[in-house]
Amino acid sequence: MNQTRPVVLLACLVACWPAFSAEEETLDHRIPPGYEPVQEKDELGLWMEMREYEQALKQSALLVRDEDLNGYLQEILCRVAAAYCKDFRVYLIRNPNFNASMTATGMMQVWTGLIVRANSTDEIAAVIGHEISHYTLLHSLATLRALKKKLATGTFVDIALILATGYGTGLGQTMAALSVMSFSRDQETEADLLGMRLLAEAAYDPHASYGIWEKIIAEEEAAEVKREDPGAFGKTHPDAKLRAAYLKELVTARYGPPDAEAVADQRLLSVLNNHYMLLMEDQLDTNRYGRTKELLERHAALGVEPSLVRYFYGEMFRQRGKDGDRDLAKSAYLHSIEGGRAPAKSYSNLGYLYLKEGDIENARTYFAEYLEIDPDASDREMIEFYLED
Amino acid sequence: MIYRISMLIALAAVASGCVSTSYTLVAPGATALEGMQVNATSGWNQAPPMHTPSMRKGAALWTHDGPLLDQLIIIPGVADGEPLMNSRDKSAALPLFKKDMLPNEIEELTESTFVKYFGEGNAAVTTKNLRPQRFGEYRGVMFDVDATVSDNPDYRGTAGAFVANDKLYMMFFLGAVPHYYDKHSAAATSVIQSATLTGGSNVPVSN
Amino acid sequence: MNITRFLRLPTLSLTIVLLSGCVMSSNVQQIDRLESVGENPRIVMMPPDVKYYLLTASGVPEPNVEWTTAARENFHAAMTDYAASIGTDLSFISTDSLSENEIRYESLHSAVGSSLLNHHFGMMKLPSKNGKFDWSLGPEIASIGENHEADYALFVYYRDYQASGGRVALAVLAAAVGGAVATGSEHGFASLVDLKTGDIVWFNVVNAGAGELRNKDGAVTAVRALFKDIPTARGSGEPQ
Repeated sequence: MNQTRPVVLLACLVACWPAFSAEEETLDHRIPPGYEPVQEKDELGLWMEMREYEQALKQSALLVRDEDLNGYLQEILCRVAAAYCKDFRVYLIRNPNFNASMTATGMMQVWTGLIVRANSTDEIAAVIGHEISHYTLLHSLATLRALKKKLATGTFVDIALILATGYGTGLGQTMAALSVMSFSRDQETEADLLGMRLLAEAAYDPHASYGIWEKIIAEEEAAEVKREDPGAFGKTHPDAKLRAAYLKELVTARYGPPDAEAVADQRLLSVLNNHYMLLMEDQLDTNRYGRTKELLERHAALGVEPSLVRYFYGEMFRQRGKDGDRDLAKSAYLHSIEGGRAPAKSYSNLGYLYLKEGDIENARTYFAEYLEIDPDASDREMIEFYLED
Repeated sequence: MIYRISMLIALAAVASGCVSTSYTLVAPGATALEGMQVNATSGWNQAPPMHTPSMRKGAALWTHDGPLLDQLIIIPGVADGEPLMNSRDKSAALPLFKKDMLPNEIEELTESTFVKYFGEGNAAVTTKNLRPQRFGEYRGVMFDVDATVSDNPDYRGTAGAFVANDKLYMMFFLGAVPHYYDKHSAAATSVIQSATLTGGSNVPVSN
Repeated sequence: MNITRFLRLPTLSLTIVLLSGCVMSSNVQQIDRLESVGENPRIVMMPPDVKYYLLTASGVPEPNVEWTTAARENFHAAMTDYAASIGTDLSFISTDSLSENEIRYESLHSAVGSSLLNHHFGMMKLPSKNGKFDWSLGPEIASIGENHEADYALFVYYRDYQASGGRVALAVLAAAVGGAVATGSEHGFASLVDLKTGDIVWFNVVNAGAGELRNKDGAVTAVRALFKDIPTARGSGEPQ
């Protein structure tokens, strides 16, 4: 490995990215495995609050309890966490957006939107490694203390701000809400760096640490409706492009270039195939077609069961409804049916498309087939209404 | 965040001077709203517009025991290319009604709208039992709803919708589980099924 | 990567405090005495939601483990004595042993509690009710009564924010610029549910001056304030 390259890299990034320094080489866990607070009152209070939050979360109706999915995440978690494995609990939450978070007590939330966006198990491991690092680097407590300090030593201007934002009532954000708040830019960088190391040490592909960000960027660019409020997100999240760039440089410098040959990840494929309907139906409900299309393209390239992907193409085009989309939707459903594993709704939704065009005969055919395939269909009454018409 | 924000706005309004915020009594009998008419049963209270910032002009929210426990939302006259609700957040990507929508599409439109009403990522909404229903001389549909909203009880509901003169008329009832859905669903269903178009009068028709 | 989630309970706290300026009455009593098939009316206490915070100058409320633990222990002791003094048998359900059904009812009760705070005690009146108090959790709650052999369920929610020195200083400063800063508060409510019908038969909201749960005597006072006019086995009135 070329010794001068990292130095040149660091010099540039010191200018562009203040948090970055030679400290990267010495960044390490700040607490041992099995850590629990003993003395600091604010830390004890924080843990108590987070424990209760976790109790409540266990009962959440949006918690995904599926054993297969949870087992998959648990496997990844333990491998990346190594000696810290027992300090964490991972909860899969039904939310189609990309996110994961970590609290001071080792409670990790992963949203279903993350699984749908990953191209490999390594990418999921990269996110988990990043979150683990927030925990071992004690970021929650640091954020809380910095926030308190900042608010307490404020000037008259700040007092007005406090009053305006509701902190003045004393009933503003509770600690629980604060603890899952954003980390600072410096902290995100630290978590990136330590996370990258954990990833490599667990024999996952360190290149996945920037791979996931490149995908997020691609999705945002494909989006028809951009995410509003870049201000708040931008303040606490290093610009995704910058992040992908510096991680790519670092990883390549330290671990060499990426493997030329990417091998299809059987474990992730099996998870996607077995839970595709659940994962993608929530994505469809977001009504964000550009993003959905981007994800479907990736899934097709990954090798997810073609009938399933084509069905969702059909759904996406049908709901988007731009000029020419109806034909695209029809051919997608037909293609899905050809594949032999089309979901039942491919038939009924195809029937509806034919109905719209006035092609009653084809509509009838597909409606009838739908009822044969799914005799317990909950919308039987509606379909029969059209068959009798 | 439409739902939660509207609750907080409501509370803030109460704080700012103890103003009595008026829910108004809905008189039993025929009630007109923006070109349509329903037959109200007794016991409904209509929420003041201040409490329902995400609702379109002309839409109404009725409740017996408070919106957290039961709510009947009536949305008249949604035109081609319009969403069912309003959102100040431009990135919300609310789905739009299209005048040639078939029943399955109306069902999807409703499901997706209500996910965003409760807050994206905060709720999962599923619809089922789609069935045909007549509303006066218009052919429409009804379907059932289950909603899971974080930090709230579960909700169960019923919806009815029809298209007339290229506009969508939607009625959507949700009740908390256990108890509140069962308590009010018969009354709500009766209101929903009574919906028809009026001759264009906006004056409440009294008994 | 982050989530900002605003749990509903802070909204509940906000509701109670906002109400304090506007509320006409803070107590509802539907029945005069408790009934039971057994010798004494049996009450089952849902895990009480009691928390103590240090309100620092920054305005960030810090949950205090020592105070909260003491408060809960004293509350438990004071409750046990109080329940006996009004002629009832009290049993407790711990958070760990809640069944899924019980959790659903806790969630429903929070929604019902919020609703009656806004619509019965507060200013958002519902005209069709005509002042009537008929909020209920529904008769299917009877299964909880059977499982715990109880006639009534008691729900308690209590928050206490103790101002720190820095906080008081801030309040003085803020007053100078014409602003207002809360220097701590305590508030809560208690509700009693008939487990045969699900009806809320008694409900009480408390604001400032309720008592001090962190010490034993203060807890006794607080419990009395919280359970003011609760129906007893002997008929309403003060306990012995």
